[in-house]
Amino acid sequence: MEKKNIKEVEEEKRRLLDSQEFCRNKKEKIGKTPAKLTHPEKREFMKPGKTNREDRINFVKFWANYVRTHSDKEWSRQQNVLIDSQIEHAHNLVRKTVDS
Amino acid sequence: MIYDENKREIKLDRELSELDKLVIEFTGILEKHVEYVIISGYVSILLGRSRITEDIDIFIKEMSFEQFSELYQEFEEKGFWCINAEKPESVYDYLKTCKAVRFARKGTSMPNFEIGFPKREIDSETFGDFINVILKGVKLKISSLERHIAFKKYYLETDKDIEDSLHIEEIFKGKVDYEKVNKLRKSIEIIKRDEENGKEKY
Repeated sequence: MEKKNIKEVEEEKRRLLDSQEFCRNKKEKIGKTPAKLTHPEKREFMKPGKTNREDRINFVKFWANYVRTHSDKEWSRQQNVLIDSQIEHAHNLVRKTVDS
Repeated sequence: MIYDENKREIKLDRELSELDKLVIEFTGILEKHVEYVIISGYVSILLGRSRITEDIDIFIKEMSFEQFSELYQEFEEKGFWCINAEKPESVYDYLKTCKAVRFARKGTSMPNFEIGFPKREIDSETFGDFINVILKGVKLKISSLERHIAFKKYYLETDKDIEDSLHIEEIFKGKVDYEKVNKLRKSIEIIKRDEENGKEKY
């Protein structure tokens, strides 16, 4: 088995402590224990729905859980990609209309 | 995101999207002239819902034509136009006849702000039942979580609206007053019955 040096072990310990602190803060803020997020590298998985409708609902719950368990900055950065691209698309449409 | 139910305040530390910046600019103009509350889809989006929208719905308190003219003038000066009519008299007429009007950045029609006077008593109650969202030092007024959930879930009822409601319920688990939601639901059911019977139609 690969041996970790002291620096790596310390780094891992710090990340774990950070994530526990983060979870504690989230619990205080929202009043609810975040779902199973005890390590920053532990992934959460979305359960696929049997129908399109169920799949959409599952995604809403999955994303809401992400929002609850991550910092505002983290989730909004992802959300903004979606929103800003729509606005950019709308502006491009106007430019095309004006050009033609 | 920190929600203080007693202060009716949500502190949000999100990065601003282009849409947020536009909303902050638009409501900054609005609030100089009239009380407003943001309702419906943008409330969910502001609070993290992963979807886009072409409009932001806003209730404004009923105002005189003179007051509206001043607001309209400032919109024009700050680079917004109304996509329903050109003259402020016509726009105001629409508002007075229970129609919402839309404003957008000059030269565009999307995203736009759909503003309207409250039509029913339940709509007017929104002005006494809102939450302040503190975002980058700016205050945005949004309808209460319970009102938002009740309208989306029991009045609008499309897939998109039910998902908007679910997002808020999931984010604020344990913080939503379901007694209040159910009370609103009863009022909504009366409105819907009246609409079906043709007594009230908007």
